[in-house]
Amino acid sequence: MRRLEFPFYLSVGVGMALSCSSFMMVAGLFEVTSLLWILLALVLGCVFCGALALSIGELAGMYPSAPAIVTYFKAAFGDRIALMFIYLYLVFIVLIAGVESYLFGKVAEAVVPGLPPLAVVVVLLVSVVTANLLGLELPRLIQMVLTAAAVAVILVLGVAGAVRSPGATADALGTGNVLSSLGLVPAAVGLTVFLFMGFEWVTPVGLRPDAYARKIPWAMPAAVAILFVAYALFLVGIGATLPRSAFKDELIPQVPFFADVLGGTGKYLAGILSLSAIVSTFNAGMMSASRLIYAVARQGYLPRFVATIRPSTGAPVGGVLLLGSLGLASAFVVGGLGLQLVAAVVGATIICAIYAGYIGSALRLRARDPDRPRPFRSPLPAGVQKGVIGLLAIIGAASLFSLPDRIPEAVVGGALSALVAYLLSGWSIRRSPRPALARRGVAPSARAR
Amino acid sequence: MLTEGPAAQFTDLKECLDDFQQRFNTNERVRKLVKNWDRQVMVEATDTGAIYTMYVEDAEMRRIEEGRSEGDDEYLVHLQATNETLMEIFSGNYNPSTALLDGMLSVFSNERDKVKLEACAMVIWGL
Repeated sequence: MRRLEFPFYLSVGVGMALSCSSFMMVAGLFEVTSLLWILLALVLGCVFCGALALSIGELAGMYPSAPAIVTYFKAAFGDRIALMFIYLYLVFIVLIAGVESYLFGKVAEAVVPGLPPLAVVVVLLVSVVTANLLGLELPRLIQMVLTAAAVAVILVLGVAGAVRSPGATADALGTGNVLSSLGLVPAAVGLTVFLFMGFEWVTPVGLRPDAYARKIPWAMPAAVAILFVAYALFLVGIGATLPRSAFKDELIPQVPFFADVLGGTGKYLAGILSLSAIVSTFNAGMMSASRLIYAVARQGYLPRFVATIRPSTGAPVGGVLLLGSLGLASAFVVGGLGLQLVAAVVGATIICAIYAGYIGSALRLRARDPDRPRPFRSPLPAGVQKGVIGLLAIIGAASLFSLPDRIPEAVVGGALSALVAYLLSGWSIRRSPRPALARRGVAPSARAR
Repeated sequence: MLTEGPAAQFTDLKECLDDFQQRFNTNERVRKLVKNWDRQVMVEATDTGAIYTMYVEDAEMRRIEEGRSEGDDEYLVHLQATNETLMEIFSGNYNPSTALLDGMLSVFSNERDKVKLEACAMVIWGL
């Protein structure tokens, strides 16, 4: 396994980021601006996420194998702020689980006409929850192969789309009105950050201590770089193949794009790609997110039943069921009300806030805990990292205004998410046990006895 | 320095692990838990350099040996913490899940093995 260790970490980072909602976000980017400016935004998004990856690498080295957001934010900012970020993250996960599963339902409907998307959503989520409860996991090798195949398909189709009609590619890369386009770049950068989101989920999965000195810290920027190339080629390919007006409102643009390039078989390839993306994302995502919920519940911050595990398989039953139920509800609400893109935009804002928090944690811990061993240290000067925090805050806020027709829904969604995180963190703090009991992992119900 | 709690009764990590082994093997629920779960649990104290490997085979903790595990990486669960933290964990004074969240303990294994190990701790000490 040692030889495949780095590719495994890479596949976790890339696999978590490549999802059905990534393709929807690509279409969303074309709703904001044109190809050239999208590519500029993608470069900036890549740079920000690369800088962020280095900070997360530093944190991962300080706390190897820890459930990232919980430990880093708690150490840097204390319980209340950490809980706010954790709940914000969980809101994000629930929103995206709903969007992801609904989009997969739409892809299934496109491949097999007449298949109701919401029925596919139910089957998908019930299957994922069941697999997790039974303790079934995708073997590492299959995870790697699926991710590599998905990236290869995107690269090949992107190139095929771009070279089919070089003239159209050149047209699509036109500058348009430079001043007004430049004004849209911050919002577009926020959406591109969403495209890279998930690369950091590699931090708890290190297989040995020395992985945290080089392999994991460098796997993250490497994953960001691979994603950048894949998305850039996909953007150029789709931008050159289809007129912008034909897919900018499309939830599953990969289907018409692949069909245009490959003919009748294209939609089937798009279906397989979407299936592999969702299997890979949901496999690692459900397990990691339910572990996160379990960890929070074990501290007494959530009701005791959420901390239930199935000892025979080690499956965090409470977390899996809670997440599965919320994901299903989210899919019905998001799909039923047509809020997919709004949910993704709100997700982009949340993830910008969380990413800014990661960099803030790394910087704060340098001051608060300077002696803790750091097998990896971000080479970026502190001033640059502070600058990235500020820029992430700006582009996160700008993302909410990226869809001209949906600004009120996006702003309300962002505000509601923040309110939910705030209220839940306060509730959790009030119900949490005294520190001495929390250390033993004793929940309030046990304390009352 | 341990001044209170169950860990104070032990003079060193090995003694603490021996006690854990006895509790592990005499608890029927734990033995059910680890059925078909053959693993080597390597415990490494980062400050003293002490390393012990506990061998779980056929639903029983068969032996504890000093030094690194020489088994297959696939079946290895590697725990790293200071000597004091390890003693607190293996004497039931510090929940391993809490220690992981606190950044006091590192566990290198697949996710399910982490939960399995914690489930054993929960059953043994009723955490």
